[in-house]
Amino acid sequence: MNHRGVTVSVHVRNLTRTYRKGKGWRPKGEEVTALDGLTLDVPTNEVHGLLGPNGAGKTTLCKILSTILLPTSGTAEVLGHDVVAETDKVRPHIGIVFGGERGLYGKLTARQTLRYWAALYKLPDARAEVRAGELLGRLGLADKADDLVETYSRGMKQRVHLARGLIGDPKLILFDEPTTGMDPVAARDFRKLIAELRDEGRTILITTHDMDEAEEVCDRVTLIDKGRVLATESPRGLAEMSGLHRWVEAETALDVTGIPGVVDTETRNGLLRVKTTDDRSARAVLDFLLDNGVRSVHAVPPRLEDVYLDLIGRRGMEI
Amino acid sequence: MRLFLSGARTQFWLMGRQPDDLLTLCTIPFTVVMLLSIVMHAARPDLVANAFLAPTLIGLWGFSTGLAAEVLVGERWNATLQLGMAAPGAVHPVYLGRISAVMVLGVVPLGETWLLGKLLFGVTPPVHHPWVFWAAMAASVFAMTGTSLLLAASMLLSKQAHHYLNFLSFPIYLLSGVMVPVQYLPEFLQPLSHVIFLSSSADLMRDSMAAGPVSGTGWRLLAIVGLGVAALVGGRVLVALALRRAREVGTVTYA
Repeated sequence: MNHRGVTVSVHVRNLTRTYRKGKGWRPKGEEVTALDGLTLDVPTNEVHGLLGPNGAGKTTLCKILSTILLPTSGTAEVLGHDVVAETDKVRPHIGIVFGGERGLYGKLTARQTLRYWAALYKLPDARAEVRAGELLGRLGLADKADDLVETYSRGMKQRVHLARGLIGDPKLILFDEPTTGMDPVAARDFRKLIAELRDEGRTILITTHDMDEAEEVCDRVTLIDKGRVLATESPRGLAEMSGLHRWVEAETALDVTGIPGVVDTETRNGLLRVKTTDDRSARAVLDFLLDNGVRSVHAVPPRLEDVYLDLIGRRGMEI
Repeated sequence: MRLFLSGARTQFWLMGRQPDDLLTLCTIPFTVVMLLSIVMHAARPDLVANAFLAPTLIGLWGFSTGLAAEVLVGERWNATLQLGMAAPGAVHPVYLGRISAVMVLGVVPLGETWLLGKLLFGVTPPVHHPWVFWAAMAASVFAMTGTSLLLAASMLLSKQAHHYLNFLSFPIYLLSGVMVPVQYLPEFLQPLSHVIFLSSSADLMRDSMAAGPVSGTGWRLLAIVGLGVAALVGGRVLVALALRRAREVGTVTYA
């Protein structure tokens, strides 16, 4: 429980993790800071998004929380247990789902994969069989449960990752870019699954680059850059409090660039998006468009992606 | 025990679908043909037992270094090591189970050697003390399992271990008396063979095939098992050390 009386599943204080580049028993190369005094609380039963560019420290945080990595300094608690000193109390309650092709045995079937991991999660054989069947059905893999994982599509492999992460019936689930490689239908199903998992009372920490996904599934998001927290809020709240530009959207080809306060415009699929400095400018653009007979027009708050780009910066390919 | 059995079962599943894991078996015929050709050409029936034992024990070592010792680095490469480390069950018994499953296959070269000897040269060596022979074989498989765990942990600790392991094979064959009985080696080399359990295995198995009585069977078996237990304990400690270091340095997965 934190100082506000909220039960928290993840409690991180001043967490720092540094690496040294180089080879050998004790690498002596340049020191790289992955996490730099990060502080974060994730209340129980919250879906919390971690957003940030590559190298921001999201995966490092997930690995420390899942007891795979040791922090350099600071503390991290999962469900009230220290991730360094009480790993035996943390591990039974966490499930981890890392994205990508690795982490699976291609020469095992999905059912065999789950039976293997069920043993590592200390499920008795009979219970493991039942649990594996449940998860395979829930994730739409029942028909292919006895096919080799290497024959699966990328999306199906990702579902095996998910099933594996859920095998121990975890209270906290750490998803690291879980929708990587999923097609839109599978990604939509994944979002439904997240909602179901929350309804079951689980806490979910999810790292993603997909802003729409974060906006849709996350109760709150934390923006991380260079190992530090930039902001933590609900996606909508973050946009509201960011003081960012207001946007106007309209189905028109009219030129609005001459209106005071218009910062930028862009047109996508016949939809004009106008970036304005403030509410007053947005109002001026709305009035102009309505006066010129445009009927499909509305003002929109900044999207999470806008906030992200504003706070993190438009770095392009830079890491 | 459940974790150990789960590891063993999984390894059997994997090996059953990866024929290249069994490449060691393909090298056995070459050794058999080479050694038996020399022995038969030289008309030295007294060396037939040596010619049969060498491919058998080389095969056992081959499974150890070629497959069992690769289990942990394979896990790291596959990014399943980190998932295992985050699981509540201990990973050591699982990996020991997987290594043990590989080493059970280490018995196959024995049958392969006997079969090839019969088919290609029409000879098989007599085994005058079969119980001693099989006990020595079982003890050797156990000791090789411990050694494999030790090697697997070393591979996790150092990327260079691969090169050393490749280099190590021939000296091991020589010093263990697998190819040539230790008493025929230069005297200054002989003490080195005592720390290699394979030398005890080779000696005991050779004696069990000979007609004369086998002396000190119990103690000799105990020596093989003892060296195996030492390797097993060392391997267990080294695995814990390697995993701890991987968590500290951040080398749980390859980038």
